[in-house]
Amino acid sequence: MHDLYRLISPVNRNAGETKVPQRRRYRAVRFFAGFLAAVSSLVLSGCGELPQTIMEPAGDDARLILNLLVPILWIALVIFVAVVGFLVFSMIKFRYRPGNDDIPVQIHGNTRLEITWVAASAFIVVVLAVMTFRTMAVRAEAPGSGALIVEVTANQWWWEFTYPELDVVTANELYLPIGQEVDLRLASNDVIHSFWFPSLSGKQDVVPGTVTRLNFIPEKTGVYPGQCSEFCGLAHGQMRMLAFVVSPAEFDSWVEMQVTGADPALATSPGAQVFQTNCAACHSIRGTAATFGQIGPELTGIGARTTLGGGTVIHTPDTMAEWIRDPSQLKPGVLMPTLGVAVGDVPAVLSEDDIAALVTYLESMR
Amino acid sequence: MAAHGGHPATSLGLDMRKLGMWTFIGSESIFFGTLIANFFRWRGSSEGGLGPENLDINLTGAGAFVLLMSSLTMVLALAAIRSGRMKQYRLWIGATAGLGLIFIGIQTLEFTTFALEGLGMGSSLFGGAFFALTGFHGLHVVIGVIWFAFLLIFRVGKDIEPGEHVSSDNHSFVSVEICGLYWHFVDLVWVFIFTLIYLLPAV
Amino acid sequence: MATLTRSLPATRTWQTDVWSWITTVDHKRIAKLYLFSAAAFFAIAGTEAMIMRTQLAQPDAAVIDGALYNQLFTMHGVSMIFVAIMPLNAGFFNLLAPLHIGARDVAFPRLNALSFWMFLFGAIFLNLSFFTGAPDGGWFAYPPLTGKEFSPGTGMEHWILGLAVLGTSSIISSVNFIVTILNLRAPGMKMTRMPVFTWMTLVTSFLILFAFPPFTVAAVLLLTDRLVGTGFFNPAAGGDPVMWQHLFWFMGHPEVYVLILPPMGIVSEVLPTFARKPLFGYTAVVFSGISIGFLGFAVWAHHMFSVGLGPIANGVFTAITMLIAIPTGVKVLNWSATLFRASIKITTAMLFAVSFVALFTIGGLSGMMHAASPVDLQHTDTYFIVAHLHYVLFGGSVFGILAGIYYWWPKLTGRILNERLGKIHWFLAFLGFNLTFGPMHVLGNDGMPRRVYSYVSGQGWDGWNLLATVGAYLTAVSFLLFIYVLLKGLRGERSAGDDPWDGATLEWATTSPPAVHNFDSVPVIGSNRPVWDGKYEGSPVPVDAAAAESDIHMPAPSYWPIIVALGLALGAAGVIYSYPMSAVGFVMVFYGIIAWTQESTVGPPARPSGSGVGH
Repeated sequence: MHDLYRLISPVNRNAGETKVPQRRRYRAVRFFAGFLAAVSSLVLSGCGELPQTIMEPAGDDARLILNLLVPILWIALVIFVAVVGFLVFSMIKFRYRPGNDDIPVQIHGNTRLEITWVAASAFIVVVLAVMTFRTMAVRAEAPGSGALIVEVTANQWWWEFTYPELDVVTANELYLPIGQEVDLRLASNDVIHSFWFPSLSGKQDVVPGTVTRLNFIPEKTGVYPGQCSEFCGLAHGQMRMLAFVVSPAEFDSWVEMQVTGADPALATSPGAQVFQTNCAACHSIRGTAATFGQIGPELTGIGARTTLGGGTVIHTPDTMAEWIRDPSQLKPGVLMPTLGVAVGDVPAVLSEDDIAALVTYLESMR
Repeated sequence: MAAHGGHPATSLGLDMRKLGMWTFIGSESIFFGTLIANFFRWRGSSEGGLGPENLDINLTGAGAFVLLMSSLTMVLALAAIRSGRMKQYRLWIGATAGLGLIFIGIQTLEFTTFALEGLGMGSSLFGGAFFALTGFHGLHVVIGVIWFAFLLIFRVGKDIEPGEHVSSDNHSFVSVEICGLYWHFVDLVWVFIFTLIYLLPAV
Repeated sequence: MATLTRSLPATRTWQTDVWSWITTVDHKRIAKLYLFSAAAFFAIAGTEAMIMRTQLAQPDAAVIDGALYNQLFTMHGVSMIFVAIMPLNAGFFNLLAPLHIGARDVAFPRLNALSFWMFLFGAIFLNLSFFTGAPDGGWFAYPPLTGKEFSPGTGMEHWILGLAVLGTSSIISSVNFIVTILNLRAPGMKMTRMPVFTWMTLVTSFLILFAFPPFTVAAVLLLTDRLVGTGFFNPAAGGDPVMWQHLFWFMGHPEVYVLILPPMGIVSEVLPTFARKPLFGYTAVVFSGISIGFLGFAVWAHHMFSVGLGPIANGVFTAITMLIAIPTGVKVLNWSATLFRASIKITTAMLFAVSFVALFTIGGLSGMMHAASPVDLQHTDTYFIVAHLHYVLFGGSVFGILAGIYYWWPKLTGRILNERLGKIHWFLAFLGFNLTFGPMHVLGNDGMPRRVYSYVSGQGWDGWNLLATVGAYLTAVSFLLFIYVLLKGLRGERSAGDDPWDGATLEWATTSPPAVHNFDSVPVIGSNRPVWDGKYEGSPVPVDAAAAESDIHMPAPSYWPIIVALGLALGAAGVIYSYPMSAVGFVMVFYGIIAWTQESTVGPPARPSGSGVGH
């Protein structure tokens, strides 16, 4: 759990094109933001295996926004240096010197100067506004007809992704083909959430009762972390997700795996019966008898997922067993019931053998 | 202290309490404005609960008339105390309070009818917004009536001699005047509310 | 100069026991009550922040659990805004506005006491929620998360009713200060001669007057959603959760200016005094403050860019939000120009005031970034916003308030705070603050969302978070030192003198602390720096001869304000705990108001004290 994204990072490297994070380019910006360039390089050197950052865009929207942010950062930096420079200069140059009790010249103002800086402020505002509106105009374009439609459903505290044209339903790990525009329609089953992959696009709130829209084009293959960014209750901090931007061929094979679902031979696995009895009320797996559960995340292809519990833990057979045994240990507040250990006076529903069988069964879903 | 020790000149030449009441009315306008906006937002959402078809426009129209008349009696009360006609002043204040009470009675009747029909606050969004707005206004009418009762019970204006023409910054006169300001505001707001809820056709 | 100062008389208050504090209607004592209580709530809210920073120092920490964390960040925000900084500002309003305009008290002294007691009881009521489960839906309390279905406890009722009481207190206080400032100015004190701080008090009062009603309505509607089953904000019942956001931010954004404009006023007083020059461009600074106030009502939806209101709405709100950069920029440049060719005395107050300008500039510039709605879509709900708002409200508001405390402590107590320790306090606070919130800019750009109680390693967040926590502890140490400085500053001789900083505005023309009636004689004002001109331009402040001859009657103390306030708080608490309690509260309010109107309001003539203008 501690090293979640460190462990995922091999996946990132396997996926390919993005290898070295391009941090160098924005170091000056970071210096401004953090004031501490020295500490900056020190701190940054030991991390960044899977950064959830807006500074390394991998989608057209994130790139567009960064291209707006960076010039504003520079303008801000210039103003900041000028103002603070003047303040420091004045504090030193015009400080009171003992013995000199002369009253300084009583300047009440200077109309011409004041008009100048009203005009200067207004000019900067106009420049910023023009830049912003140009970006907004690009963003406002509706998705094209070839866009891949994905219906995003936010739940406390996990994400469901439905590809209506491809007949695919999955959860928490979003697959997108590189270069193809994606047209997201976002809805919520409970409270307000916000959908956010910083590397791909700006965030979009998910408001119950309405469908909101977001579209962007993934531009670099790789794995990108995302997270709910509107406070949504107890486990808001553990409502994470991953986006896998892959080549079209990889995407097609992933889709095929999702559509086909489980190997029919698995129906005889001991875990299949345990699943059908205890899990199927909430979870579905395509290609098995469990196709009616709607409350929990779809588990088709669960064996191939890299994380569990809405990005709470890295997926290994051990964490899978741990999760099934008592999910609330890993993710306090989770709505999935605890079945593997006794809760108060209620004995455990699942024996350790059941859990082992379930893990074997689920791990084979790939 | 300026506000209490007689009536020294103020910067704007306005009585403290009067300026305070005007300021307060500014804030109150936003209160009512928000509730009116909220009603507008939901006036089309009456499925299965209280809706425009349940409103008895004749009954509430009578209430609106009564309330408008009470503004008139308030004006007469103020004119009376200004010229020291103390008996008439008390009479008109009493009449204003009485008209206010009739309005409250009509509103109580209306609310009770709805409640008996099971059309409460939670019955529809229209209903919720309706009760929130008219209830908040009704509360203001109740406070106004209590204020009138207070003017009569504590004999505000007893320091004014019968027949004495008082100045516009006389302490007792202003005490009554700010009550009048408040009352006119409450009446005026009802004109808006009545028009919006009862007279405008539903969308 | 000699005519304006005089040694203090031995006693200057009628009584000093507890009863006199409970019944006081003196604006200066109410100021002390506000400042002291708000400082206590500031300490509580600061402790909440320290617990959160401790939890966030390392990834996957388990110092506290998510449930408590959510209560803490909610209460930290609500407390800092409504029961710490707002009442700290109100403390300064009370202390200064009447002195600045040459009045003897506020327009409605007992209402003033009522405002204070309502604030105190509302704040206590809000914090009592920790015993039964504090609100945990964020200070913004977005439904449906804060509806009954997703927040079944009583925390939200504490939030709603507590804020309703606090909001009403603020509205009453606003009416009071608007009337005071418009109507109680001394002869010759034209609006254009008022100190900037008092101007900002006036603007702030209008902001509160108009911004709080929609919010109070929204809160009550949310309460009916929770208790009666209306569904205004509940999408499951056909309601509209986005409407809440509009109503909330219609208060929420002007509220930011309610928090920052008074400290801007403080800085506009402190900078000129220690620069020994007039404020550069007084008129421009005042008009900037007014226009910031106006624009503040037209930008609320910039808190909602990510909701998806559409490009037109986002464009309009982007444009208006950016416009605020103009008056803000004017203020910053005017403050800076005040230092030009000055003779700057580097005192603690001055250090805090100059830091205010620098740190507020950072907050303003980062605000300019997410004024651009596309950028906001990346920054909103991340630590970048946490950094931004703390640069405005901590580097800005709190530093301004600290400047004000160092600057006016002599007027408040007659003693000067220790300057050497004060400068150490400033240094630690400045360093600690920047270490805490500087790194949060980076965290935000690196995608760390707000309001998460833990995070995983490997995203480049660990080091910055640790640094921020170290900075937070340093800040905490600076405030412990500050408490020591204050305690030290309460003891010893009252040796500050009436005018220790060589000030320019009217409060320096009376004794430190001022007599109950502020000025023996009503001053007649001829400029916007009456005291300075008296000292250096050879034009001492004249007095109103007619007024000087009459007796001074100060308002009598009254215990009805505290009874009415207690009744209101009981009435609110009863909604949660028991309706009979509400009934008792209602009777107290009703009886209290009747009694209030019937008691004598004029106290005995003030003792001759020999304080103030023109002996």
